[in-house]
This record gives sequence, C-alpha cells and structure tokens, in this order.
Amino acid sequence: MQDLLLDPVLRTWVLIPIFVIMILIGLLRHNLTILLRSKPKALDAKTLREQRIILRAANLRGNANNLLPDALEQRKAFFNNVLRSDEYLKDPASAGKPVNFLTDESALEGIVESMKGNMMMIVPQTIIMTWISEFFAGFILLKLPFPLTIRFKSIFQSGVATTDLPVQWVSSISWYFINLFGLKSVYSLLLGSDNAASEPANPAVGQILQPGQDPKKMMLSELESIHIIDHKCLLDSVESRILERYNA
Amino acid sequence: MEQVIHPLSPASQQHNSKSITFVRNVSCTIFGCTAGILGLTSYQGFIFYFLSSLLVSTLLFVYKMKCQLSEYHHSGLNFWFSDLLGGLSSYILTWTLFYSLIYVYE
Repeated sequence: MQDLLLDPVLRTWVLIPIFVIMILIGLLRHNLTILLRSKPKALDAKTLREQRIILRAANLRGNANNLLPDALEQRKAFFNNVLRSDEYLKDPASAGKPVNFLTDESALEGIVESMKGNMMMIVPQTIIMTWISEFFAGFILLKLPFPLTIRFKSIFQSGVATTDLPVQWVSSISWYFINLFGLKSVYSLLLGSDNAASEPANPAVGQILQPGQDPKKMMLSELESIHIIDHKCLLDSVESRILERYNA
Repeated sequence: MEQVIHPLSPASQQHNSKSITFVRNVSCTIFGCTAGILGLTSYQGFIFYFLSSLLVSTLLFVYKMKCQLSEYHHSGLNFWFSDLLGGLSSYILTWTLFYSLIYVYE
C-alpha cells in the first residue's frame, strides 16, 4: 500500500545513473590515487641505520624468549654500548633539538602524502554533492524501508517542503548518502581488499620515525625497555614438554 | 609463554580475516537484495540482517572451520559478534535499492 506514485522515468534516469556514476567515480579515485602516488624515496645510509637500530632493539624485546640467556646478555651489552653512545645517530649535533616540520624533507613528504589522500576523498564527494543538489533537486526519489526520526526530514527531503510526508520518502541527496556509505563493500569486491576508494590510504613509506620525535630519546627509551626484559627462555622446560607430547 | 610455544603466524591470520571479510561483504549485499525483494520493512529488515549474518558465520564455522574455531581465528567472541555492523551499510544500500525498484515504482 503506497501513498505516492513515482514515475518510472525517475528510476531509469536518476536512481540507476547516480548509482552507476558513484561506482565509476570510486574506481576513478582508486586509479588516480595509484597513479599519483609518489615513488618511495630512497633514504641515505645514515638515516636508515638510525631507524633500523631502533627497530632492531624493538625486535630483540619482542623475540627475547627465543634466545638462550647468555646470547641475550651479549645482545643487551651490545645495545647498551651502542645506544648510549652517538654511534648510530645521523647528526650528533642536533641530538637534543626537536625536528622542525618545514625544514626536514622527510617529514614534509609524509604530510604531502596524507594531504593528497584527503584531497582525493574530499574533492569528488563535494563535486558530486553539488552536482546532485543542482540537477536532481526538488523531487522524491525513493522510499526507505525503515523509518527515521523527524529531524532527518530537513536533510533527506531537501527539495520538497511538505509537513506531513513521512520521513521514509526521501529525495536524491539521501540516495547519495546511502551510496556513499554502502559502496565500500562493492569497491572491495571489484578492486580487491586494499583499494584506495573505500578508505584513504596513508602511506608513511620510509617514515618509521614520526616527525617531531628525537631519535636519541627513542634510543634511550628502547634501551630502558631492553633492560627490563622478563626473560622466560623457551628452552627452560623443553624436556618435560617433549616427554608429555610423545608419551602417548 | 603459550604464545612462544605455539606462535600465531600473522600472514595466516591476515589471510583468514581477509577471506572472512570477503564472504561477509558478499553475503550482506546479496541478503540486502533478498530483503528488498521480499518487501521487508523496518524492524523485520534489521532482524533479517542479524539472522542472516549469524547464519553465514555458522556456515563458515561448520563447513570451513570444521567446528575448530581456535585453529582458524584468534578469538571466538570476535569472530561471531565483531563484524555485525560492518556490512550493515551495504545491506541497507541493496535493501533500499531493491525495495524501491520493486515496490515503489510501477
């Protein structure tokens, strides 16, 4: 039982086209993001070394249970020497100062990348929203199967100013919103799961160090964590475990 | 210590969750079409959504995991209940689309 009769022309020329166009814009956005993605920069040896020693210390912390006790002690001594001295620092002179955003190129790169990602999301959305509210305004497009509260009336029935039309009858702008949220899974079906159309990717390639953090401080904090490793060697009770497993 | 004796492989975990997400995405979309064609409205539609996603999870559990959840996924509660609202938006999209196509237009 329906209270409004809608012209089938609306279906052919509004409903389906908006759906198809939003899918196509998403595909376009995905491909453009891939094309515009800048090549990962090659870091020089000193910067890499600085970043990698911190990673290596973190790995030691994570996998310490696989080592024998004296092997762990050897590594702890090595890190103690290396992380306290300035051996691995890229630039010992700037050890105490925080990284300045505008002068450090690698930080700038990361910011530009994330801004590109945001632009890629925002610009098509704004364009399509303007297009839809210009061209497809002033009529009711579809009926939502579920009811909503009165407050959504002003958003969803934007072109049609009536007081007693139920909120279920909506205009084309709400079809745009439904598509916006619902097409994420269609994109992942068409493009594979890591596509740039459903969520804006934030590549921080070669950017293990967050801009603004001091490498020396990170080294010292890693050293502290290494010193308080609670070592439960894997080989401690291995003979009882083997006997249990092969006893039956 | 348990983690070290029986380590979890991150690559396998990732692959498993990708497969589960894929199955859930497809099934939510198709169940949305079904709900639209059946003409379900408001609360019936949402109950249908929750029932269908639980059904899909059960089928995954029985046929693909052979009732051994711990072999394939790290946490039981996470597998059954965490992804319920993820497919809701696609479900609503196809539900609205098919409901309008069939029941509202001539």
